[in-house]
Amino acid sequence: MSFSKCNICLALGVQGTALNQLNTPYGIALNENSGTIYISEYSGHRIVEYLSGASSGTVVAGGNGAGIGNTQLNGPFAIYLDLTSNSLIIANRGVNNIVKWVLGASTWTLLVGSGSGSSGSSSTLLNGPCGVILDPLGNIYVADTSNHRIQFFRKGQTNGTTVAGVTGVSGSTDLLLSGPYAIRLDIDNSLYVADTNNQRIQKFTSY
Amino acid sequence: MTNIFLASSLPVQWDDTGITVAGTTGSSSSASDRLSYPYDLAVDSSKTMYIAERDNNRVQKWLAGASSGSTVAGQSSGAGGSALNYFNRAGGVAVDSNGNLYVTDPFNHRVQYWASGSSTGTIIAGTGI
Repeated sequence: MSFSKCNICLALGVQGTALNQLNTPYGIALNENSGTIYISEYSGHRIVEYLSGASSGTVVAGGNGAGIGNTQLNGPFAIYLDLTSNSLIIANRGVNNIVKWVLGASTWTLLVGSGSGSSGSSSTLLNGPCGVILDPLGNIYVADTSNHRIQFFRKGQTNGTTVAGVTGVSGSTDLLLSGPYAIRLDIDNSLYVADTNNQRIQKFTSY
Repeated sequence: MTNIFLASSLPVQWDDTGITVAGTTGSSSSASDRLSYPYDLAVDSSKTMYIAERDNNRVQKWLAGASSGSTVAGQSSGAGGSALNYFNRAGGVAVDSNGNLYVTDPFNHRVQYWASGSSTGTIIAGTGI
Protein backbone atom coordinates (compact mmCIF):
# COMPACT_ATOMS: atom_id res chain seq x y z
CA MET A 1 0.00 0.00 0.00
CA SER A 2 2.73 2.46 0.88
CA PHE A 3 4.49 1.63 -2.39
CA SER A 4 1.43 2.48 -4.46
CA LYS A 5 0.86 5.65 -2.47
CA CYS A 6 4.38 6.70 -3.25
CA ASN A 7 3.82 6.17 -6.96
CA ILE A 8 0.69 8.28 -6.84
CA CYS A 9 2.62 11.04 -5.14
CA LEU A 10 5.28 11.02 -7.82
CA ALA A 11 2.69 11.03 -10.58
CA LEU A 12 1.01 14.08 -9.08
CA GLY A 13 4.30 15.86 -8.66
CA VAL A 14 3.78 16.68 -5.00
CA GLN A 15 7.38 15.76 -4.27
CA GLY A 16 8.27 19.22 -5.56
CA THR A 17 9.95 20.77 -8.52
CA ALA A 18 13.39 19.97 -9.85
CA LEU A 19 16.39 20.94 -7.76
CA ASN A 20 17.36 23.72 -10.14
CA GLN A 21 13.88 25.24 -9.94
CA LEU A 22 12.07 27.28 -7.35
CA ASN A 23 8.36 27.50 -6.64
CA THR A 24 7.45 30.99 -5.40
CA PRO A 25 10.53 31.82 -3.33
CA TYR A 26 10.01 34.39 -0.59
CA GLY A 27 12.43 34.06 2.30
CA ILE A 28 16.20 34.24 1.97
CA ALA A 29 19.07 33.86 4.42
CA LEU A 30 22.74 34.39 3.65
CA ASN A 31 25.73 32.83 5.33
CA GLU A 32 28.22 35.55 4.57
CA ASN A 33 31.16 33.42 5.71
CA SER A 34 30.59 30.79 3.04
CA GLY A 35 28.37 32.54 0.51
CA THR A 36 25.74 29.82 0.94
CA ILE A 37 22.15 30.97 0.63
CA TYR A 38 18.95 29.38 1.92
CA ILE A 39 15.67 29.99 0.12
CA SER A 40 12.12 29.27 1.27
CA GLU A 41 9.68 28.11 -1.40
CA TYR A 42 6.26 29.26 -0.30
CA SER A 43 4.39 27.12 -2.80
CA GLY A 44 7.03 24.38 -2.91
CA HIS A 45 6.84 23.82 0.86
CA ARG A 46 10.56 23.35 1.25
CA ILE A 47 13.82 25.16 1.99
CA VAL A 48 16.71 24.73 -0.43
CA GLU A 49 20.38 25.43 0.09
CA TYR A 50 22.53 26.80 -2.73
CA LEU A 51 26.27 26.73 -2.22
CA SER A 52 28.09 29.73 -3.64
CA GLY A 53 28.13 29.44 -7.44
CA ALA A 54 25.98 26.30 -7.55
CA SER A 55 23.47 25.87 -10.38
CA SER A 56 21.13 23.69 -8.37
CA GLY A 57 20.12 23.35 -4.77
CA THR A 58 19.78 20.75 -2.06
CA VAL A 59 16.61 20.36 -0.01
CA VAL A 60 17.45 21.00 3.65
CA ALA A 61 13.91 21.26 5.08
CA GLY A 62 10.50 20.03 3.98
CA GLY A 63 10.06 18.84 0.45
CA ASN A 64 7.45 16.32 1.55
CA GLY A 65 4.33 18.15 0.45
CA ALA A 66 2.34 20.67 2.46
CA GLY A 67 1.38 19.43 5.88
CA ILE A 68 1.76 19.55 9.64
CA GLY A 69 3.87 16.41 9.94
CA ASN A 70 7.33 16.95 11.34
CA THR A 71 9.00 16.24 8.00
CA GLN A 72 6.77 18.78 6.26
CA LEU A 73 6.37 22.52 5.92
CA ASN A 74 3.32 24.48 4.83
CA GLY A 75 3.83 27.84 3.16
CA PRO A 76 7.23 28.66 4.66
CA PHE A 77 7.94 32.39 4.55
CA ALA A 78 10.84 34.08 6.37
CA ILE A 79 13.85 32.02 7.37
CA TYR A 80 16.56 32.94 9.84
CA LEU A 81 19.94 31.22 9.80
CA ASP A 82 21.10 30.58 13.35
CA LEU A 83 24.80 29.77 13.14
CA THR A 84 24.95 29.12 16.88
CA SER A 85 22.73 26.06 16.58
CA ASN A 86 23.49 25.33 12.90
CA SER A 87 19.82 25.53 12.14
CA LEU A 88 17.16 27.39 10.22
CA ILE A 89 14.34 29.09 12.09
CA ILE A 90 11.30 29.01 9.82
CA ALA A 91 8.09 31.07 9.80
CA ASN A 92 5.79 28.22 8.83
CA ARG A 93 3.01 30.53 7.80
CA GLY A 94 0.39 28.07 6.59
CA VAL A 95 0.32 26.16 9.87
CA ASN A 96 0.75 29.12 12.22
CA ASN A 97 3.98 28.15 13.92
CA ILE A 98 7.72 28.75 14.10
CA VAL A 99 9.91 25.69 13.75
CA LYS A 100 13.59 24.97 14.08
CA TRP A 101 15.22 22.71 11.52
CA VAL A 102 18.80 21.73 12.29
CA LEU A 103 20.82 21.53 9.08
CA GLY A 104 21.20 17.86 8.25
CA ALA A 105 18.17 16.79 10.28
CA SER A 106 15.09 15.22 8.71
CA THR A 107 12.48 16.71 11.04
CA TRP A 108 11.64 20.02 12.68
CA THR A 109 11.17 20.85 16.32
CA LEU A 110 8.45 23.27 17.37
CA LEU A 111 9.60 26.56 18.88
CA VAL A 112 6.38 28.56 19.23
CA GLY A 113 2.79 28.40 18.06
CA SER A 114 0.56 25.40 17.58
CA GLY A 115 1.97 21.95 16.89
CA SER A 116 -1.27 21.00 15.19
CA GLY A 117 -1.47 24.01 12.89
CA SER A 118 -4.17 25.94 14.74
CA SER A 119 -4.26 29.70 14.48
CA GLY A 120 -5.16 31.95 17.39
CA SER A 121 -4.50 35.20 19.16
CA SER A 122 -3.56 34.06 22.66
CA SER A 123 -0.03 34.48 24.01
CA THR A 124 0.91 30.96 22.86
CA LEU A 125 -0.62 31.07 19.39
CA LEU A 126 0.08 32.81 16.09
CA ASN A 127 -1.96 33.67 13.02
CA GLY A 128 -0.24 33.48 9.65
CA PRO A 129 3.24 34.47 10.85
CA CYS A 130 5.43 35.74 7.99
CA GLY A 131 8.53 37.01 9.79
CA VAL A 132 10.95 35.63 12.35
CA ILE A 133 14.36 36.58 13.71
CA LEU A 134 16.48 35.70 16.72
CA ASP A 135 18.57 38.11 18.73
CA PRO A 136 22.13 37.21 19.76
CA LEU A 137 20.80 35.64 22.97
CA GLY A 138 18.43 33.32 21.11
CA ASN A 139 15.22 35.13 21.96
CA ILE A 140 12.60 34.92 19.20
CA TYR A 141 10.75 37.79 17.53
CA VAL A 142 7.79 36.99 15.32
CA ALA A 143 5.90 39.16 12.86
CA ASP A 144 2.50 37.69 13.72
CA THR A 145 1.01 39.06 10.55
CA SER A 146 -2.71 38.33 10.77
CA ASN A 147 -2.78 39.26 14.46
CA HIS A 148 -1.23 42.66 13.55
CA ARG A 149 1.42 42.36 16.25
CA ILE A 150 5.07 41.59 16.98
CA GLN A 151 5.55 38.84 19.53
CA PHE A 152 8.62 38.32 21.70
CA PHE A 153 9.44 34.88 23.10
CA ARG A 154 12.28 34.49 25.55
CA LYS A 155 14.57 31.64 24.54
CA GLY A 156 13.00 28.32 25.44
CA GLN A 157 9.59 29.79 26.23
CA THR A 158 6.36 29.37 24.32
CA ASN A 159 4.44 32.17 26.01
CA GLY A 160 4.91 35.40 24.11
CA THR A 161 4.69 39.09 24.91
CA THR A 162 3.40 41.66 22.45
CA VAL A 163 6.12 44.28 21.92
CA ALA A 164 4.55 46.21 19.03
CA GLY A 165 1.00 46.57 17.78
CA VAL A 166 -2.21 45.51 19.50
CA THR A 167 -3.50 41.96 19.18
CA GLY A 168 -6.19 41.63 16.58
CA VAL A 169 -6.41 45.35 15.88
CA SER A 170 -5.41 46.58 12.44
CA GLY A 171 -4.82 50.31 12.22
CA SER A 172 -2.54 53.09 11.13
CA THR A 173 -1.85 55.11 14.29
CA ASP A 174 1.63 55.05 15.81
CA LEU A 175 0.53 52.36 18.28
CA LEU A 176 -0.93 50.03 15.65
CA LEU A 177 0.24 47.86 12.79
CA SER A 178 -1.57 46.40 9.78
CA GLY A 179 -0.42 43.05 8.46
CA PRO A 180 3.27 43.30 9.41
CA TYR A 181 5.38 40.93 7.30
CA ALA A 182 8.93 41.35 8.54
CA ILE A 183 11.00 42.41 11.52
CA ARG A 184 14.66 43.29 12.08
CA LEU A 185 16.84 44.56 14.93
CA ASP A 186 19.55 47.17 14.52
CA ILE A 187 22.84 47.28 16.40
CA ASP A 188 21.15 49.16 19.25
CA ASN A 189 18.35 46.57 19.56
CA SER A 190 15.70 48.87 18.15
CA LEU A 191 12.97 47.01 16.29
CA TYR A 192 12.15 47.71 12.65
CA VAL A 193 8.83 46.44 11.36
CA ALA A 194 7.71 46.21 7.74
CA ASP A 195 4.20 47.48 8.41
CA THR A 196 3.09 46.17 5.08
CA ASN A 197 -0.51 47.23 4.67
CA ASN A 198 0.31 50.70 6.05
CA GLN A 199 3.00 51.21 3.35
CA ARG A 200 5.65 52.10 5.93
CA ILE A 201 8.54 50.94 8.05
CA GLN A 202 8.03 51.51 11.77
CA LYS A 203 10.88 51.76 14.25
CA PHE A 204 10.36 50.96 17.92
CA THR A 205 13.26 52.48 19.80
CA SER A 206 14.99 50.52 22.54
CA TYR A 207 16.06 52.12 25.78
CA MET B 1 6.73 50.65 27.19
CA THR B 2 7.35 46.95 27.24
CA ASN B 3 10.04 45.97 29.66
CA ILE B 4 11.92 42.84 28.65
CA PHE B 5 15.14 41.67 30.26
CA LEU B 6 17.36 40.58 27.38
CA ALA B 7 20.20 39.62 29.69
CA SER B 8 20.32 39.06 33.40
CA SER B 9 21.80 42.47 34.06
CA LEU B 10 20.53 44.43 31.08
CA PRO B 11 16.92 45.52 30.84
CA VAL B 12 15.89 46.46 27.33
CA GLN B 13 12.60 48.04 26.62
CA TRP B 14 10.96 49.30 23.50
CA ASP B 15 8.72 52.28 23.10
CA ASP B 16 5.16 51.16 22.35
CA THR B 17 4.91 54.08 19.96
CA GLY B 18 6.35 53.52 16.53
CA ILE B 19 8.19 56.09 14.47
CA THR B 20 7.77 55.98 10.71
CA VAL B 21 11.31 55.78 9.31
CA ALA B 22 10.42 54.97 5.69
CA GLY B 23 7.31 55.51 3.60
CA THR B 24 4.18 57.49 4.34
CA THR B 25 1.32 55.94 6.29
CA GLY B 26 -1.44 54.73 4.05
CA SER B 27 0.02 56.19 0.86
CA SER B 28 1.27 53.71 -1.71
CA SER B 29 3.12 54.88 -4.82
CA SER B 30 6.46 54.55 -6.61
CA ALA B 31 7.65 58.04 -5.58
CA SER B 32 11.01 57.95 -3.80
CA ASP B 33 9.43 58.88 -0.48
CA ARG B 34 6.76 56.20 -0.73
CA LEU B 35 6.58 52.42 -0.43
CA SER B 36 4.12 49.91 -1.84
CA TYR B 37 3.54 46.83 0.30
CA PRO B 38 6.98 46.46 1.88
CA TYR B 39 7.47 42.72 2.40
CA ASP B 40 10.93 42.53 3.86
CA LEU B 41 13.85 44.61 4.97
CA ALA B 42 17.46 44.33 6.02
CA VAL B 43 19.20 46.78 8.34
CA ASP B 44 22.99 47.09 8.21
CA SER B 45 25.46 48.22 10.88
CA SER B 46 24.97 51.86 9.84
CA LYS B 47 21.19 51.45 10.25
CA THR B 48 20.74 51.79 6.52
CA MET B 49 17.60 49.96 5.45
CA TYR B 50 17.17 47.84 2.34
CA ILE B 51 13.47 47.47 1.72
CA ALA B 52 11.89 44.93 -0.66
CA GLU B 53 8.56 46.22 -1.94
CA ARG B 54 6.14 43.69 -3.30
CA ASP B 55 4.06 46.01 -5.47
CA ASN B 56 6.88 48.32 -6.59
CA ASN B 57 8.95 45.33 -7.76
CA ARG B 58 12.12 46.91 -6.37
CA VAL B 59 14.51 47.26 -3.43
CA GLN B 60 15.00 50.71 -1.93
CA LYS B 61 18.09 51.75 -0.01
CA TRP B 62 17.06 54.15 2.71
CA LEU B 63 19.69 55.85 4.87
CA ALA B 64 18.95 56.39 8.56
CA GLY B 65 17.11 59.66 8.99
CA ALA B 66 16.49 60.17 5.28
CA SER B 67 13.12 61.27 3.96
CA SER B 68 13.39 59.26 0.74
CA GLY B 69 15.06 56.20 -0.67
CA SER B 70 16.92 55.26 -3.84
CA THR B 71 16.41 52.18 -5.94
CA VAL B 72 19.24 49.64 -5.73
CA ALA B 73 17.50 46.67 -7.41
CA GLY B 74 14.64 46.66 -9.90
CA GLN B 75 13.23 49.81 -11.47
CA SER B 76 12.61 53.10 -9.66
CA SER B 77 9.36 53.40 -11.62
CA GLY B 78 8.06 50.33 -9.83
CA ALA B 79 7.53 48.47 -13.10
CA GLY B 80 7.70 44.69 -12.96
CA GLY B 81 8.89 42.18 -15.55
CA SER B 82 11.01 39.15 -16.21
CA ALA B 83 14.16 40.64 -17.73
CA LEU B 84 17.25 40.56 -15.52
CA ASN B 85 16.79 44.17 -14.42
CA TYR B 86 13.24 43.52 -13.22
CA PHE B 87 11.36 41.58 -10.59
CA ASN B 88 7.89 40.14 -10.66
CA ARG B 89 7.11 41.20 -7.11
CA ALA B 90 10.00 41.55 -4.71
CA GLY B 91 9.89 39.12 -1.81
CA GLY B 92 12.83 38.79 0.55
CA VAL B 93 16.13 40.62 0.74
CA ALA B 94 19.52 39.86 2.27
CA VAL B 95 22.53 42.17 2.09
CA ASP B 96 26.17 41.41 2.71
CA SER B 97 28.67 43.74 4.35
CA ASN B 98 29.67 45.17 0.95
CA GLY B 99 26.12 46.16 0.05
CA ASN B 100 25.58 43.34 -2.43
CA LEU B 101 21.98 42.20 -2.53
CA TYR B 102 20.29 38.80 -2.67
CA VAL B 103 16.63 39.18 -3.57
CA THR B 104 13.87 36.62 -4.05
CA ASP B 105 11.75 37.14 -7.15
CA PRO B 106 8.70 35.04 -6.24
CA PHE B 107 6.67 35.11 -9.42
CA ASN B 108 9.69 34.80 -11.69
CA HIS B 109 10.53 31.78 -9.52
CA ARG B 110 14.17 32.78 -9.11
CA VAL B 111 16.65 34.54 -6.83
CA GLN B 112 18.64 37.46 -8.17
CA TYR B 113 22.03 38.79 -7.07
CA TRP B 114 22.60 42.50 -7.56
CA ALA B 115 26.18 43.58 -6.97
CA SER B 116 26.42 46.92 -5.20
CA GLY B 117 25.97 49.72 -7.74
CA SER B 118 24.78 47.41 -10.51
CA SER B 119 21.85 48.27 -12.76
CA THR B 120 21.00 44.62 -13.47
CA GLY B 121 20.84 41.37 -11.62
CA THR B 122 22.09 37.85 -12.28
CA ILE B 123 20.13 34.71 -11.53
CA ILE B 124 21.77 32.70 -8.76
CA ALA B 125 18.96 30.24 -8.07
CA GLY B 126 15.99 28.93 -10.01
CA THR B 127 15.43 28.79 -13.72
CA GLY B 128 12.62 31.30 -13.93
CA ILE B 129 9.94 28.70 -14.71
